[in-house]
Amino acid sequence: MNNLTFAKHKNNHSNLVAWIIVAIFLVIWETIVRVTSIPVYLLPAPSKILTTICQNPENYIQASAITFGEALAGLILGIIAGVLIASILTLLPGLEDGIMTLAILVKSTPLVAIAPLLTLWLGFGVLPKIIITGLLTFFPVLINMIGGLQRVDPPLLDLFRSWNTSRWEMFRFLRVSSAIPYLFSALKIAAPLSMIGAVVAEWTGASGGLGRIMWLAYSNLNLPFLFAAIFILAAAGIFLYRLLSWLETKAVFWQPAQLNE
Amino acid sequence: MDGDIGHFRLTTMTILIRGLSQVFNNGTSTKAIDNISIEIGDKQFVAIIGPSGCGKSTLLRLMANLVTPTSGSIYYDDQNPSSAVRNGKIAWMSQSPALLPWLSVQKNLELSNRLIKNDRESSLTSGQVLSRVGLSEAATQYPFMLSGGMQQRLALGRLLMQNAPVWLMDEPFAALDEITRERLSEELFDLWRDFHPTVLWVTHNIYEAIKLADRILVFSPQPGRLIADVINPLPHPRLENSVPFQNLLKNLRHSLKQTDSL
Repeated sequence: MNNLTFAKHKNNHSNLVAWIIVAIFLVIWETIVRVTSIPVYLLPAPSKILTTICQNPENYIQASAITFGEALAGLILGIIAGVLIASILTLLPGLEDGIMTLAILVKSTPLVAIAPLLTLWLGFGVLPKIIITGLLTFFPVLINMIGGLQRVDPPLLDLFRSWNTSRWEMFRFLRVSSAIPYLFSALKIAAPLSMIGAVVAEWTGASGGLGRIMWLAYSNLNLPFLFAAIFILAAAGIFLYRLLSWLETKAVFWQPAQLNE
Repeated sequence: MDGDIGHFRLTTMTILIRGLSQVFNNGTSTKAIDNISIEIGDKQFVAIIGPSGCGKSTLLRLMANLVTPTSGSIYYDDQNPSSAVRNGKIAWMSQSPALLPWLSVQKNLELSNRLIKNDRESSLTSGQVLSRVGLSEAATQYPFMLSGGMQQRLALGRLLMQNAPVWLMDEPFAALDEITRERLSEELFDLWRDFHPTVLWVTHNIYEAIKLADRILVFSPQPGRLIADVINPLPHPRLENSVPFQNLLKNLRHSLKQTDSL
């Protein structure tokens, strides 16, 4: 248990370091903009960006709700698809080659090619954004889950074989729990991707959201507006990553490597 | 030792190994085991020793149906390894404790009971097994909280819980420090004396083999062949300093030296 408290202290410490680094970064940015008088249409100072957000908060809250809603829905879709396909491939290994070819096909099709098409077919609503986000996030989840479900500690596999367990029992009692750390690795990649997916999808045409704000701001060279949206996305990204890391320590409490990090 | 453990009877069984060979094909073909024939009587405590690469582990893996032999046969009475495993005749333990890290000590113990489908339910409760292997206090702890010795003790408890007549043990304590290893070997011996399974125990420690086993099989390396089959007649407790102990040790050392010149 001493290890756990130690890890917690260390975690608080690294939290502080992270905030200090972010603060230093912002201060340097602010100083450079003020000293060299960079015009606001090229690079606004952080203070200008933050006041932009504070002057019109409901605008950003509303847009964030739309974008994060799309991102979350798409992420959930991607997770479900990725976990489901990885499970099927583990239980029926004969299908792996066929389905993986299909998955790589989906993965290698550029997002910028699919996004406008989906908007064309499905309109300016949230549905195409959710689908794009789902397509973008499902691949890292699939790859990590295949790894997690199939790369089980060999002595444990031997043990289960020596118990003459069925493929399903091995899956249910051994592989699923073994894969949980891999699921978190996947989520740490997929969660930021989901926000990128939602924003990029909104650029191709949307009635609302941070991506639309960014697109409008960019068209008018209103950089404080553009950067305000970027700040919100960055903050959300950091929050999400931290949340996932915290959830991971709770869910994967049994993995000693977690304590040493 | 077995006061509150209750009655726990294992059926008799003879293991017959005939002309067993195993060739691994990974690029080049390596002969791991060459034409081994052994008969092991019921309730024997058999130690298998030999230099590394002599196929001791392979023999046990073949016996546990983890690998299919290239040629030859293994029979547990009239059953091949696959059906012996299916009928819960075999319990397997290796150098890795192979505990499920997300389950508590107690849950780890109970999982095997839940997953092994044989008609001979364990007559021991998980509580009895835990107290037998000295882990009652740790029942709710998780494997990462246990020392290496305690983890192997739990694996030993799980073996006991399985109520199988044959225990296949592949260097079970090799990764432990010497003091812990000695103590666990003694506990294994006590378990064998109380529950009388047939034990096949791969070890690289000649002392421990002489101390515990009734019979010692010596293997030569590359390919693994049986070069000596020694019955250990010494009465228990076996004292390392006694003359017969030292004589047996000398004999076994001599056999093992021969393997170098092969």
